[in-house]
Amino acid sequence: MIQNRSLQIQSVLYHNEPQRIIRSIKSIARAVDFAINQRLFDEVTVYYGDGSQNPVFNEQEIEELNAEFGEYVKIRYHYFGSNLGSARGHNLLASLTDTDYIMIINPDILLAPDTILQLAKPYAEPNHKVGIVEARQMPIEHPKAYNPKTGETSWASTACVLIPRPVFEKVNGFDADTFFLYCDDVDFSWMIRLQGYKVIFQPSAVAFHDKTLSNNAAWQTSDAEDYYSAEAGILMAYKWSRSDILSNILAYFDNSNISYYKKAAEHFRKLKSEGKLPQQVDPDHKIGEFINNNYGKMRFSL
Amino acid sequence: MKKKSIDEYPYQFEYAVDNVYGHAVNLLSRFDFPKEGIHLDIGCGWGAISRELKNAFQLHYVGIDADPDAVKHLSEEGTEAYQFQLAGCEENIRFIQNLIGNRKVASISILDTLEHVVNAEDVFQTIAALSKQYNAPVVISVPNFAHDDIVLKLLCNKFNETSTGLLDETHINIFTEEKLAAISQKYGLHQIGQQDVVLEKSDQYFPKELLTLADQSSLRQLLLGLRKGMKENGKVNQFVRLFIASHGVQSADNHSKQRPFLSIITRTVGDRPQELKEVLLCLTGQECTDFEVLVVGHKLSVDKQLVVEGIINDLPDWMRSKVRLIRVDRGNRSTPLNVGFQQAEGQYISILDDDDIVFSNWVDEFKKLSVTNYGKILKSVSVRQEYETVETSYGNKTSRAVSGFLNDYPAEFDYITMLHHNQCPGLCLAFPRSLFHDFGLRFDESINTIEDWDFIVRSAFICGVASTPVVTNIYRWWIKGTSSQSLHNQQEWEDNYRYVQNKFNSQFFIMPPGNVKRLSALVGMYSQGASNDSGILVNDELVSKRKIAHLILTSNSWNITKPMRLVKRLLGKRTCVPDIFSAGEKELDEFIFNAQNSKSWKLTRAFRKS
Repeated sequence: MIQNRSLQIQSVLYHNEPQRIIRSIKSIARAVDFAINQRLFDEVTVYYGDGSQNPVFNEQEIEELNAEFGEYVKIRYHYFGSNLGSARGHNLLASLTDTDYIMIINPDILLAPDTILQLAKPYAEPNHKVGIVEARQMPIEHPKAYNPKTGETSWASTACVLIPRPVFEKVNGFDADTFFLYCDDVDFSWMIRLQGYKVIFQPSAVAFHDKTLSNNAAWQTSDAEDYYSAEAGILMAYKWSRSDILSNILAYFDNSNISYYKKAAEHFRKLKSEGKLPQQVDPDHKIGEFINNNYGKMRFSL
Repeated sequence: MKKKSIDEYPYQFEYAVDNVYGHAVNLLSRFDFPKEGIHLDIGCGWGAISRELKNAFQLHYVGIDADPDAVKHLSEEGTEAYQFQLAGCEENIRFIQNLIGNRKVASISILDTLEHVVNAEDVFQTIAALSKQYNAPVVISVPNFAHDDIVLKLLCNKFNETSTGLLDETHINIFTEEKLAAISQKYGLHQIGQQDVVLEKSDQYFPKELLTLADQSSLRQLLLGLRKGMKENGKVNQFVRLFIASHGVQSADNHSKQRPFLSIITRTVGDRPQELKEVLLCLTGQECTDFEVLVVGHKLSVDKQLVVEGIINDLPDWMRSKVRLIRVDRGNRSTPLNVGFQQAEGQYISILDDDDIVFSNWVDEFKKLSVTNYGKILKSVSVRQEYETVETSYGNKTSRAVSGFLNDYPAEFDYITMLHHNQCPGLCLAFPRSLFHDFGLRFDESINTIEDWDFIVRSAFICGVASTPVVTNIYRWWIKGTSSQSLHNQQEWEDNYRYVQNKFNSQFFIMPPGNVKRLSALVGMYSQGASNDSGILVNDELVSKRKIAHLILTSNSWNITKPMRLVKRLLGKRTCVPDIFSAGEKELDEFIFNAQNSKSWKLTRAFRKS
């Protein structure tokens, strides 16, 4: 059982609407109230790192937020001055404090009142070697597979996760040099598993992540999401020593008439020529799971 | 009603057990009050109830009226009576107190008078003050301006005043039940009994050839059908009500009341705490927060009630203030819906069960749609997703999705198909409150399944449906565990289906524009199917094969397996679907054989309900 530990809930902003963030804070305050009441945590900081072109909040607004929610959480804000990307932004935020646990959330995530309690449950037994616990996103549930008895899964989406700081530091946080926007969480999860820890999906910890479907019920992605996930796909195959998959992807991208595929392949070759590719890991393919263009088994496709 | 001279209205016709006077006396006789002192009859006319009150209760009758002839008549027959023109409250009370003196007032009546007085509210105030002072019951009668005959004539621009009756030309005030209740409550007159005078056909039932009055015209039947649910007072000629005075009630001004846009009715029996928590979390994430939530706990045990209360109390403050728990300990699945709709304050009302999931745009899309379609049912699109229960070693019992999004439900509301089967999960619709609160539509509490389909269809043909193609919600389809799909047996589904279809068939429906051509086309197809090119009827076997093909094409399995056929098509293999009304026997045989022997048909056997 976790007891009286400190927690930092951190989020990287990029041109988010303040009202959505404030609504998220309201839900965080309620969930923290419960976590403190159960003596899981005795000190909780909510730290926002802002990579927007113009600051989302000014000092006075942060003061006002602290005046309103200070009973439960201390709200801190760091304006990055540039778009560092998700991975580097989270590494920076994590380095600003020394709390026992780090919770990473998307800025507009809404927590249920018991989400933090549920996320903390798998850490009750230290010998279970749990390295990261992921909440279930709603209304669109992530389709990746997990063991329905243990909750073990291939990787954790960092839309809403709880991580012990020692684990975060043991893997040196996210690989920000390699991943800008996508797959930083897949890589991070696999690095945790490489250290012998488990990645746990906790379905009873729920978090509302505002996503909608197209009119034909399809998952909608932006142009940036399409490009960065293609770019990250190549780098994942390289870093996790899957030369077979890497060559397949490159061949497919090169022959595709989709512009962002070609651009992603070019980016990879540029990094290679500049000697900027990451160090390869998992040569025996014990951790990395590349299954049907996904990073693990899927329960269904979206 | 206008008081007539003794010549026009012979005395002996004034009192009858089944008219307003008889009802007034009967109401007083049913109320156990000290029958000592005087009965004050304000607007007494020719004293129609004087003899009956004297005989039945031994009360001392005192009449007051503005008509000197009437007062003279009463005085001459030995009844205490006074001439007085009702005026302001203070003046009224001064006059009446003066004539009462030290005597006690046992009871009061004011029959068919309030519609004639200039200052009706002063008179209400007067009788309320007297009733309160003497603890005296008051009988009030007023004509019903909302009698079917008046309303149905007004629809045809006909307003016929007469020398007496419902539209007496001397009436200054008009009353409906709602208005009588509002003024009475305002002055502290609380209703304790009623015995209205009901007339199937009033003195306003003319001209009889008017289509809204002519008994057998469809228009009349349709309109009467619509009015039937409106508090059932369309046949009341005069409201005859018994009141006793106490403190006044500030009745809500319904016209200027600020209502939330949407009332969300969430039924729960308390056995899905995790899913209820998730529904409320989804509502916490709504773009548009102009809503209230009524969690209707149905037959909750104390333990389950505590769980549900706990889930609500755990919400962030702003959300908790929007949620009410209502307990319902009776009835079936329809009952909590009726109770929830009854207590809903919103302009629109939606059903969101405790295992449904909504996107952040759910309320917002309804609201946007209402801007240009106010008054219609609002419809967005549901997708179906299969779920099963799960409980990992670290967590509580909860659920997990096991399928992608199944686009089973159409974007447009199809009135004709909806007469055959339901294509709309409840959560994709928002109903105008007027359907329930004004038109009296209710969920049928005699059925335990398809109650939503029955309500949707009856509602849709009254107010129409406006659709948006935007997906706003997920209808959870439980693969394992309990749901309404698994709780009720096939026989119950079939019995209820027949019951609801018979119900639809027995009433008039208003068919919106755009459906006549479709119906015509359907009849055309049917006619083609009934005869071959030579005009000779086709054989029974061919007809039955067409029916089988039709059943396949309209089955759940066929809808569910649409994505599989799409994949097949992308792979270059098309599924041949014949035009069932023109296809030959061989073509139909081939289609039926291929469909029934396909892998997808076998896999989706569970979805074929009949």
